[in-house]
Amino acid sequence: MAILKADKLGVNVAKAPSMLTGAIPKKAWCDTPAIFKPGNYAYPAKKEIHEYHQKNLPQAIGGVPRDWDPEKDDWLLPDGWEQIILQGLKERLDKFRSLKIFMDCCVRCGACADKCHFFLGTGDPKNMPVLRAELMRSVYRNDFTLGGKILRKLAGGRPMTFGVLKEWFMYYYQCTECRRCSVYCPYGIDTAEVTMMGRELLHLVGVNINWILEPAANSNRTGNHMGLQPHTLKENVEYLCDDIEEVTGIRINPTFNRKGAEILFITPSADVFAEPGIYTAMGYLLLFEHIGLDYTWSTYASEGGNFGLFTNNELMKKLNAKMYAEAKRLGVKWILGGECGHMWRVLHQYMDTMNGPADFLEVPTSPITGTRFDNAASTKMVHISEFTADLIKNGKLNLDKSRNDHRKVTWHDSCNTARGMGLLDEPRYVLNSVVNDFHEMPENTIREQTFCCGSGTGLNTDEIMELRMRGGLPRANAVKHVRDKYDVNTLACVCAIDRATLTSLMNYWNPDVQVAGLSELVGNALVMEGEKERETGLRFEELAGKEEGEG
Amino acid sequence: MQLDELLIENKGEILNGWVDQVLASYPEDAARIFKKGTDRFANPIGSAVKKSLWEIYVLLFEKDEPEQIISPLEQLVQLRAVQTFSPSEAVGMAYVLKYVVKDECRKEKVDDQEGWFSFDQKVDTLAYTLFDMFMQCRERLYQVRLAEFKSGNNIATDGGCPSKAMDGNNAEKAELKTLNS
Ligand code: SF4
Ligand code: SF4
Repeated sequence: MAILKADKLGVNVAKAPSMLTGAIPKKAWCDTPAIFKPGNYAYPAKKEIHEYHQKNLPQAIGGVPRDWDPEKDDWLLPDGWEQIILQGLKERLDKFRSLKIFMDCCVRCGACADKCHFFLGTGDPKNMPVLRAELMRSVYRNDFTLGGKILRKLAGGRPMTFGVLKEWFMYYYQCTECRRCSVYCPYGIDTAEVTMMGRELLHLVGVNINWILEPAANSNRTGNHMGLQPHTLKENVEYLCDDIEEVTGIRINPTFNRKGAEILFITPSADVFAEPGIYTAMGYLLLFEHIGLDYTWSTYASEGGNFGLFTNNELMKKLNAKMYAEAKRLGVKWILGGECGHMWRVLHQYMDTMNGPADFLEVPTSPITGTRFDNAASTKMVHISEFTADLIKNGKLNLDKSRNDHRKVTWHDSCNTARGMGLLDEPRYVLNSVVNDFHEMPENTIREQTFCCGSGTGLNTDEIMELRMRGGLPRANAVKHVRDKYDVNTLACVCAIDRATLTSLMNYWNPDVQVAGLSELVGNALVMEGEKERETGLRFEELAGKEEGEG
Repeated sequence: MQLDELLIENKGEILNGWVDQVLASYPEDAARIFKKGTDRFANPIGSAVKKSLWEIYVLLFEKDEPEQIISPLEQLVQLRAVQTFSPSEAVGMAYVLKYVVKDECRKEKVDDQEGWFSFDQKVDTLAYTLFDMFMQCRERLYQVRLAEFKSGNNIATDGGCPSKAMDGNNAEKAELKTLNS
């Protein structure tokens, strides 16, 4: 009988219309237009939010504040928007040498092509990092290289058109700037930085999304993404202290804006308001109480996150500066930072050159162990996992691991802390010290090769939930593996966005897996002086051996 | 030749054809990569399609256990339910198998009324199951969206201080939320 040969099948795949969709996927990537439909784009910024930013940073946030609809053919762009973009690109090519290099040196080897979680989850070729960068590179070639100026399309050049702008808006908001692709690129091309520039250029002509600009506006105005005013922030932390008292019998009374404290503690505002971050915040409170730390919260520097990173470098600089300003105002010695992803990316990669060096602060030294954190000698800011790991290493914590025995845990390396700052072993050391049952996910999905949650860089808004579930597929797939193999029921991490987005990701893909911050697990394990016997964990969940009826 | 013999004898070719056709619902460049990659963590879509279709095929035509197909279908349906496929396209995956098998039989002369009856029945079962599972996944997706909304995540764009929510200022909240929807 006739056998369908593999090569014939290959032809079938290419030439015949898909039996499923009837579509013939024949077009080259650059001839396939970006089409916006509900669910595949995040809502544009509200007019008043756009206006707010434009007033504060007119050089970065351009365009006309307006109500506009990505699904319509007229985006109400400013006159001469093409020139604004090209001029903006020229300025950035001059200012950021990395951008120029990334535009020039890709050899199209394809090593990055299948490394992006958005490509792996969507199958859309324009989500291959090489093509994502090509969306901008083609314009660069057309207008900024000699070959491109003469040969245009033959040299792979494209003029800046509305169609290209649409592609930028679609695909620079389907990149979470996670840098996974850069790990595999022989030239170290960091497509995340291309995306950053793409977004900056889009902002120049008023093409933006609300989920990024509104939290950034809140942060600029009240100090945090949630828009929590000082009294609300304080009240919320106090509510958490009430819950701690109920679980442990210990009353904690943290201080706010206290001048002369040794350490300023800064964490994402989601930690004090949204689940499951609040349990992590309870963990911090317990830890600091346990060691008698002389620290203060701030209601002004009340946000670790920095949505400027997803907008424009000037906004990032401005939002970051308040950390130092507050440290100076309060006269602290150094800053301790909570579990956040992009706060650490900004800190590790940009803070020192943007706002540092913070010479008025001291090189962080743990008051409990005497360890000097020379890695933070310039930024003066230490990560909670480094700090906790050092405490454990020096035997300063009284821990009862068995209180996490109801959890079988796996570890998600958040892109920003893992790839962005190399924080790989400290959290694992802490985790191993506070849980008995820890299982790693497969090697090509962790540490430097970790897969993104799929919703970073301000894409964690609910109107694009489907897109997020696609982007998070490779991560969820690896979690499913350890769930099936070891009955893992907890996915731990040190990132506030991850805690929120992985919760949704798990609710869809692996509904029996909960997400927990590392400090929550530390808080569960900490044996506090004078505490009552614990019946539940910090989220009032039953502990192993304490199930109802077993006393 | 009896149909059930053909289904077992030509299993490899039929499954290859089926996998190819399902992968052809992705753009060509992606389909090529998904077909080639063998690491299930580096190539989740390709692996899920291959694994699910092979397992289902075995259950339907080798072991004759159609009631067992739910579990091997799970990951595949979960995937397709968030990938802009319509319900009919999700169900279409079953009918594609019909075309592939019929194509195979054209070359082979299979005149087996009874066999075709049972085959059609199994494929229909697959289609109904796919449809139900697809709709369950869509429903779960909306529940996930709702749960996230309730968790307080949305407050970052609700405008102003969340203490407002405590006053029960719902009209204002609704207005802000719908501004862009
Ligand atoms: S930075 Fe991450 S999301 Fe962006 S292209 Fe690279 S792998 Fe994809
Ligand atoms: S791996 Fe680097 S050089 Fe190769 S195609 Fe990707 S970006 Fe270009």
